[in-house]
Amino acid sequence: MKIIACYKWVLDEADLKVEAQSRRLLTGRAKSKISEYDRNALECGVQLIDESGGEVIALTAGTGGAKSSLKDALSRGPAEAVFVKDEIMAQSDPAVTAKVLAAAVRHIGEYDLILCGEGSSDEYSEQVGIRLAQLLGIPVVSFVNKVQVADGVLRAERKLDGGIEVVQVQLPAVVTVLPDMNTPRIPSLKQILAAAKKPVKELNLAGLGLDQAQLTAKVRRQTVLGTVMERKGIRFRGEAREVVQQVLTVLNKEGLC
Amino acid sequence: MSEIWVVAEVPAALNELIAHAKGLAEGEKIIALTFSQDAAQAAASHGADRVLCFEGGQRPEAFVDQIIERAQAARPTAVLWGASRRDKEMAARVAAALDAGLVSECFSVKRNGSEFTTERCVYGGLCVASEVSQAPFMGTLTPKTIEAPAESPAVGIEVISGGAEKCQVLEMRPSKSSSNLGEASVVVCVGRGVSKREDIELARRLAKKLDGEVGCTRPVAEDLHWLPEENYIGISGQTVKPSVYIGIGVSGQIQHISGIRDSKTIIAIEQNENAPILEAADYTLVGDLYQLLPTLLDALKA
Repeated sequence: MKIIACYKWVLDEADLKVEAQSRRLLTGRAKSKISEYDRNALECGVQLIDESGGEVIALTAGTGGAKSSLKDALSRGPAEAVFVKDEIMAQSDPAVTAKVLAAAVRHIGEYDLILCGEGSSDEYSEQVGIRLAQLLGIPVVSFVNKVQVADGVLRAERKLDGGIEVVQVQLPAVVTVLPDMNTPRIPSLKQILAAAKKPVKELNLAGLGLDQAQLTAKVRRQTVLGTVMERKGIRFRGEAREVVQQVLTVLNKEGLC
Repeated sequence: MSEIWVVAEVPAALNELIAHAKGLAEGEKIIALTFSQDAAQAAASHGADRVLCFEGGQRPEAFVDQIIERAQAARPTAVLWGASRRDKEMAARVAAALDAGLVSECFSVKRNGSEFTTERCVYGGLCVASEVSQAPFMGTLTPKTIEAPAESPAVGIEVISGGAEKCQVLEMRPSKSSSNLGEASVVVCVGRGVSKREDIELARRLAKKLDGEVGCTRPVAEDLHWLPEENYIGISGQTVKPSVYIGIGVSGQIQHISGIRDSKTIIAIEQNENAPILEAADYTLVGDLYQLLPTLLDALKA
């Protein structure tokens, strides 16, 4: 089985800060990482291969900075990586990203299954995997936390608002993966060292035959500002009894005791 | 382009979308696309000008191809979608087929002629992104961001049958427990700082005494399975807006904070003074929850 697992290289939201006065987002000290749910997608692909054989190709599209992601991705088990590199990806929206990935998938050629995280930890639009399936003309099974493949047929459980839906579909298909699908592995030193020797194919957008019109984002960003949350920030310290006495005053004001 | 479409699987969401559509319409008719008689009737009696009911498919997603064809023909000015997971899948597929933009989980949409300005949360709720799209506009809209319109004389419902797709639904298991967290006036939230499953009882006692509900963070539900998944609070789970939220051993990851943002008063019991919850809280009881919580329960005679 040939599996393509897509991932996005994102800023680690735990490193982001908002400047209190201007509400400006400060990204200066932020490190990057493979988006959380995409790690579940990579892990899912590698586990399926461990069971039934085949290979996983890791696919990402990003700016030059995303080059640093390749070793990380490959240390998680894929046999090779495909990197679509273009600075235009900094202004991409889900429509553009899906078109770029669709073109890269067509370039890769044969495949049985495509896996994507259900949303990225920065934008969380929850669109790219679903759009990708539509553009490729293959079925999508979205919001999945259990998956099985046998004889070219995928059976998956979707976690929906009203409950669990079990679906079956003939491959090829796209599956978008929820975080409770699995626990992504932490690569060992050996796996990290082996990753450096795995093949990486670098593509560019001109080579994929995408023109400017297709690469223009439909949604134009105006501002990104920190959410306002004005909180008192009072800390009660000391003996448990004193601390509790102070919080009782607060609960009392709320009419709760 | 003289129509605004509203599409959602659930009646409540549909009615709210009609309210949004009324606010945005500049002479356009409001067309509701529905997938059950319940939803169709709700839309028909809450201000939609025309209601289509897609029937006979195994699930709403079975009608995506038909929706795409109709959208290509009618070219609506805007399509407003619900934000359930089915709605989100349908919206993204239709947007991809029409090569249209789609703004996910907008909590506000404003219109100036052919320009639509939306607001949505990014970076796990740390920031709000303000974005501009040109008509035809598509967005999924966060529930409970508007009052549903009052009931009005019902219009007729056009039934459309069919619905074919490659996916085959084998089973649908409705969720057993439903959660009242969203409506609770007090929420006691269990985080990873609680070290044993049995200790959730402490949170239950506190919640019971304060007439509240018990919630938890994502790992407590999805990794440890100590509480049902319907109980986890955060950007991908429940959103709560109680008058008092009490976090017990909750460190305060940004994804969790965005689910409690609208609480009136936030109280935290937390040992680590560097934990992000302290920045989001009005009051933090700094110390060991296993000393503080029993003392609080004693004092409340809980």
